Amino acid sequence: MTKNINLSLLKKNSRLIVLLLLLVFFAAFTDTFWGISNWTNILNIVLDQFPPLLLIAAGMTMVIIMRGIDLSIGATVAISASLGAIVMNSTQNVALGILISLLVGIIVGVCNGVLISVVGVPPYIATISMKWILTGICLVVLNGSSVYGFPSEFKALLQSTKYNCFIISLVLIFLLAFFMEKTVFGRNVYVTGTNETAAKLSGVNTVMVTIIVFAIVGVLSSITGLMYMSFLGGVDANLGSSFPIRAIAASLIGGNAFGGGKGRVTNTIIGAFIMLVLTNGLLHMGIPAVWQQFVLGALIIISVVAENFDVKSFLKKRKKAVRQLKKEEIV
Amino acid sequence: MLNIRLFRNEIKRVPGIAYGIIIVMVIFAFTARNFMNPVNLENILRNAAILLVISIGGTMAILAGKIDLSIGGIATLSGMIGGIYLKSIPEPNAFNVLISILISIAVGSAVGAFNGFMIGYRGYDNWLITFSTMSIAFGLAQTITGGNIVSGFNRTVRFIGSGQIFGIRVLLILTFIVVGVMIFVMHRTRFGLHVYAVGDSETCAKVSGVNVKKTLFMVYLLSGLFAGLCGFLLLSKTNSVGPTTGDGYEFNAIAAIIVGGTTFDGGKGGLGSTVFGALFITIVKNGLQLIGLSVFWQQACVGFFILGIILVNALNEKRAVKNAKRRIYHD
Repeated sequence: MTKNINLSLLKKNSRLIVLLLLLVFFAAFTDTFWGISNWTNILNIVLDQFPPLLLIAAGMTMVIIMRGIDLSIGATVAISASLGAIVMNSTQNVALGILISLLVGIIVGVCNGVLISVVGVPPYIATISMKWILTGICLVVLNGSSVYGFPSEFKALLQSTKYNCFIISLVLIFLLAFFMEKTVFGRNVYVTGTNETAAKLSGVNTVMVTIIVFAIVGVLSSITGLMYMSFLGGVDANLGSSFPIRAIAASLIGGNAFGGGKGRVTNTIIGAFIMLVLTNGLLHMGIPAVWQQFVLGALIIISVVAENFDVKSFLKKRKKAVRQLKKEEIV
Repeated sequence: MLNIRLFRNEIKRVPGIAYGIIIVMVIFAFTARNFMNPVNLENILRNAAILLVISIGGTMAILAGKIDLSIGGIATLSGMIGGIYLKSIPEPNAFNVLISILISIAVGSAVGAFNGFMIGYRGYDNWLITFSTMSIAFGLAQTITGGNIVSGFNRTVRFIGSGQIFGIRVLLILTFIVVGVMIFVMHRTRFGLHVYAVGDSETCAKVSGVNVKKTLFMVYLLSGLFAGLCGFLLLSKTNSVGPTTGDGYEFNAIAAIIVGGTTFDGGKGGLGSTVFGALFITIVKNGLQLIGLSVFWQQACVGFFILGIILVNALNEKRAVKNAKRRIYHD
């Protein structure tokens, strides 16, 4: 019995162990990654790279729980940021720009949701088409170039202290987690992911749930876009081209499983952190940045395989095989 | 009388998109200069041929009720490796070109076999695995050359992509043969019918004695194989291969398949209709370019096409269901 409890504990906290191992590994084998005197890199990861990744990954987690996928988040980030930026620059009105950006995010999300739930398009097809459409529109609007030179109040809003984005993202994550765990809507999302037909039959408005979830993802994407706008100081159409795979990787590494109804938003925090530590650590080890795409794909496959890897049944099978072997030897 | 009825049945068998092609061609013939120019038409055919070859695997995957997003990545990676092999030889001759084709096909098949193993035998989510292998393949293609382009091959290498036999492009002949063989395989062999059976209903196929796992494995293997072949064709036609050569091909292939009339439900449609779909997509892209519409709109248009066709299909299906219900309740 105790053995089983130990195993399940190990499985439950495996992500944390992986994270700690990675931190120790990179701290030990590189000079620049992390040390007693060298905090800058880890601070940079936590304060600059963590918030945007966390937000898109959290959105992706919600969609994955609902047995869907959103491949359009990168394009949503790009188009909401660039439309917001254009409005902001032409009117010099920061609030209006932010409002437009959030609105664009919501509209894109609702479009995705309607396509998937009302029309019945498979999620990956709907969102991958959306990705190309949005990227095309974004390129046309920006004419292939980039927007920059935002009003100084905007930068002050998000970058006045180092911790603004970090705090915003954490607050949003915990709000979302509360939303998903403790409200009727959140449970409806889980039910929809577990079995859509059953959910529909028991009175859940699955169409509305899908639309709202995708709208939330749209809002999260546009907030990510605003963060990027504030610290890059410019936007172009290719801003988010690698976001979907990064979000999926972060979400799955955090322990969310594919197949609907499984996973938690808070898992994403550890997932995003593992991914950032790994990708940054590899850079500090001297592995070129071009390997990142490869690493991301491999990470997803490894985490999916690890998630489905059942320790107990593996041990059982091995025992059985050993027994069989012994039997054969005796015979 | 009889003859007319036969003729009518023949007309009914032509996929709807064939009329779409005629309409689009008439429109572009009047609006776009040089569209009906033989050189341009030949160019369209060659582009369509490459899209068609890469769509073969995609069609099979969608017919089996799955999807293969990795074909663009596989084409890039295998073309890249084939190209690097050719570059390592100072003056490649026909034998070396053959070896290079075999290398491309082998690389493609290897990635495809991995997809097939994970999806067919291990039962992981099909698009998640292919999405990851897409990222891995693109990533590897980038790392091999450090992001550079391999280009500048001699005439022997370019023969397949842009050479002629008796005034007909080799590429077209090759595509004709490959597609012809595959149409035969899909409609007249046990394997092809098994693919349809698996797409219709995996459970039914399993119960009827179809080896579902092996069929899916073969589908992805062949998908990788043709993507690998397409990688070499791209190299041979464009005389160069870079880390983003195949970018967007998976999407265009899906567009060609869907526009042709194969549906995501699986088991409906076929390679023959994909031929028309590939022609349609290529003609539209070419025509839009000649009209002078911004290049940025092209992929967005393809996205609109996919969503539009799916929308029409969904509406048709709803109507069919309604009609069927009416018949049941009225009788």
